[in-house]
Amino acid sequence: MAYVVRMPKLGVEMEIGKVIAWHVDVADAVSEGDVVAEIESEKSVAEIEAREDGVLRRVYLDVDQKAPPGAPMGIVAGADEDLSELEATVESAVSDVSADDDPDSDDATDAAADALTDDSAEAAPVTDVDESGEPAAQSAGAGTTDGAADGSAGGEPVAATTPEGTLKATPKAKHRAAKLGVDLATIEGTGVHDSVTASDVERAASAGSGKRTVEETRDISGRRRTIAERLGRSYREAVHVTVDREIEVETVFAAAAAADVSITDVILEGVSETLSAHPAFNATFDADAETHTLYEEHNVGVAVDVDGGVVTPVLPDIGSMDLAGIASAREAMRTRVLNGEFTPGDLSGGTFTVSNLGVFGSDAFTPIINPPEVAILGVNRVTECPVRTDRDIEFRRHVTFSLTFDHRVLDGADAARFLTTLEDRLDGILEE
Amino acid sequence: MSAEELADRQTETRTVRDALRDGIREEMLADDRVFVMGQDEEDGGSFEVTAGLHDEFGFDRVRNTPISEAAQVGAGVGAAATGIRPLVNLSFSDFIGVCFDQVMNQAGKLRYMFGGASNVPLTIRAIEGAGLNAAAQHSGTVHSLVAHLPGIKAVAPGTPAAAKGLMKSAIRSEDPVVFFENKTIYERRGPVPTDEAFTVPLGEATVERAGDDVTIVATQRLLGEAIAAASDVDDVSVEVLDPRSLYPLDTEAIADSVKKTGRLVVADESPLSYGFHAEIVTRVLEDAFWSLDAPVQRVGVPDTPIPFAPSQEDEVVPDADDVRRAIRRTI
Repeated sequence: MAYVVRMPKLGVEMEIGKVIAWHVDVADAVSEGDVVAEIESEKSVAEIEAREDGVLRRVYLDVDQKAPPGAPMGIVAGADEDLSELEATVESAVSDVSADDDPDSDDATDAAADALTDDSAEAAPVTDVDESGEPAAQSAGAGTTDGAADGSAGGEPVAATTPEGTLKATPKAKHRAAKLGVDLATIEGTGVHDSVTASDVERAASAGSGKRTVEETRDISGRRRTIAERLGRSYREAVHVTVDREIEVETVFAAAAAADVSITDVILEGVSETLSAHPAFNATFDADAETHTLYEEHNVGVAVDVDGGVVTPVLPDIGSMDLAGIASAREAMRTRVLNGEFTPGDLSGGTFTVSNLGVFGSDAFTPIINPPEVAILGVNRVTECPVRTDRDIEFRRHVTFSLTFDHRVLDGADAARFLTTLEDRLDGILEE
Repeated sequence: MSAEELADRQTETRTVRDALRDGIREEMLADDRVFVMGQDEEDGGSFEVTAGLHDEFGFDRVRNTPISEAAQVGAGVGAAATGIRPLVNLSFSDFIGVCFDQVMNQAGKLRYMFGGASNVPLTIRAIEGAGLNAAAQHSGTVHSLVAHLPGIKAVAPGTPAAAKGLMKSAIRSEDPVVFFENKTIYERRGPVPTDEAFTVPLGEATVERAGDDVTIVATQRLLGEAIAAASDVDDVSVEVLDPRSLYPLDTEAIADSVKKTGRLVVADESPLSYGFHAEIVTRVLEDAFWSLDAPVQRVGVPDTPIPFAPSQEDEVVPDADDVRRAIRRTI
C-alpha cells in the first residue's frame, strides 16, 4: 500500500529537520528496511527506512531543504499504483509549508507546533471509515455503526490540511504519547483502520531508548527499603561535599603488626584521636531545630557489607578504648552482624561513620552521610606510591581517605584540617 | 449476576419467567398493598408470568382490566398516589403510545409537581423484543423512549437473577418504575439466589463475564448473545456487563470497565438512533475518553420497524454474529 514518507520527529524538542541525502532516486525500487533518506535535526541525525517494498515515486524535499516533523518528504508506492489521493493530501500540506520562503522562520515552526496539537486530525477517521470494506448496503442488515452512518459525515478530509496528513491516533494513544514525549506522526499504527493505539505508542517509546526486556522485578523491601529511604533523604537534604586526601600509611601497618590487629583498627584509633581534635565532626544535625549537637563519646559506625544491604553497627565510645580494645570490639560486632545477630540498638547512637571500600579495591568514592550525623570517612585501597626521600625515591604504602561532610554545618576548610590532623595522628601512631 | 455476587449465596436454577413470578409473589406475600392488574392477568397475562397468582391471592389482588392501556396505567397512577402499590402489566410495549400521557405527565411528574407530597410507587411491566414473527406492532423495543423521561426509572434485566431482584426493588420503589421484559428470554435459565431477602438495587450494573480487551455493555436478549460471542472469540478477552437498570444508569461500572479495556461495544435491541447506545457511549466519552483505544461500536436494530416476514426479521435483529463482528472492528 502506498504511503507518504514523512519527516520524523527526533525527540520532543525537534522543530525542523533537514534532508542530508536521498539514498534512492525517484523511480528506483526499495525494499522494506532499505535506507531511503537521511535527515538531520537540531541535535541528531537519522536514517529513514522504507516501511514496505515499493518504488520511490515522488520526492518533495530536496537535499538541504528543511521541513517540520510530519511534513511529507516523498511517496513510496507500487510501481503502477494510483497516487492521486495521496498526492492530493500531500499537495495541500506542501503548499502550506512552502508558502513560506524560509522554513526556519517562526511561521513555519509555529505551523509545525500547531500541527502537533491540532485536534482536527481526529476528524479523519470519520471520513474514511469505509476502508473496512463493509458495504453501505450492510446497514440494511442488523444495525451496526460500520455502514452508511459514517459516510454521512462527507466532505474533504479535514486532516489533509495539516502536515500530518490523515494521522489517526486513539485518545488513549494521544494521552500516552503526550506523557511519554513520543511523536505520533512517526509511529505506524496497528489499530483499527491503521490507527495508532496506546500499545503502538508504548512500543515506540521503548524502541526509542533501546530495546529493554525485563528479566526480573525485585521488590525493594526490608533493609533495602530502609537504606533507600534514609540515604535518599540524606542525599536530598544534606549538602554533601567530599574531600579526598592520600595519606602514607607505613606507620599504620607497623602499628597493626606490633599489636597484631588489622589496619582498620589502627585507622579507627587515628579517627578517634582526630575527632577529639575536631569535635564538630563528632556530631549530629537537626535541621528543624536548627541545632548542631556535639558529643563526648566517639560512637563510630563501621559499615559492613552483608546480604540484603549494607549495615552500619556502632562501636560505642572507642575514644575510651586502646587499640586492642577497638580490635576486639570491632571483631565481636562484625561476627554478630555477619551472623545476623545484631539488634536495632547496635545500629543507633552513632556520632560518626567509617566506610571501608578499599577492601573491594576502590581508589576514591563519595560516601553518603549516615543521618543525622554530619560526616563520614571513606577508606580506600592501599597503593604503593613513590616518595621523594633525602637522596632517593622510595615506594611507600598510601591510602586515599574520602571525607564527606554536610556543608550546611561544616566547611571545606574544616574538612581539610580534619584530614591534616588525621594524617598527623596516623603518622605519629607508633609513638603512643 | 456476576460470579462474585452469587459466590456466597444458595441458588436454584430458574427461568426468567419463574424468577419474575417469584419476585412478584414474594412481594405480594410480604406487603398486602401490592396488587396486579392488566389484560388477562387473572389467567397469567399473555406470557403466563403471573400464572397462578389469581388462584392464590384472589380477585382483590389480581384482576383483569379492559383493553385500554390508558385506563390501566391511569388507574395505576391513581392507586399508587393514594398509597397502594400497583403492578400494571402493559403487555406489548409497542402500545405505550396509548398511555404515554399517563406515563410521562402523570406517573413521572406527580411527585415533582406536588413538591414531594405525593409518591407514585407504581410498577409498569412492558413486554418488548423481536424474534417471534409477531409483526411491527408487537415486536418493538421502546425502552429508550421511557428511560429518557425525567421522574421515571427503567429496568431491563437479561438474567433470571436480575429479573427477580429488580422486580422486588421495582415494587418496593417509591418512584414509578417501568419494567421491560424481553419476551424471547422468558425461558432463559440461570442461577437465582433462594434467599427471600435478595434484591438487585435499581441503578447497579453487573459484570457477567470478566475480560481485559473489550467491554460489551449488553442488555436483555443481547446479553446472552454477547456472552456467546465472547466465548467465540478466544483470542480476545471480552468483558460483558449487564447494566440491568437503564435509568438510573451505573455509569461508574461501565466507565471503570472501559478504563481497563480501552474498547467498547454497546449491544441493545432498541433502534440505533437517539437512544440507549448513544447514552452509554456519551457517558463513556465523558468519563473515560482518554482510555479509548479504538472506535466505539454499536449493535442494535437499524432504523426500521421490525418486519413480519421471518427472513426479514432475522435480517434486522442482531445476534451473536453481529456482536462478534463488532468485537472484531475494535481490535
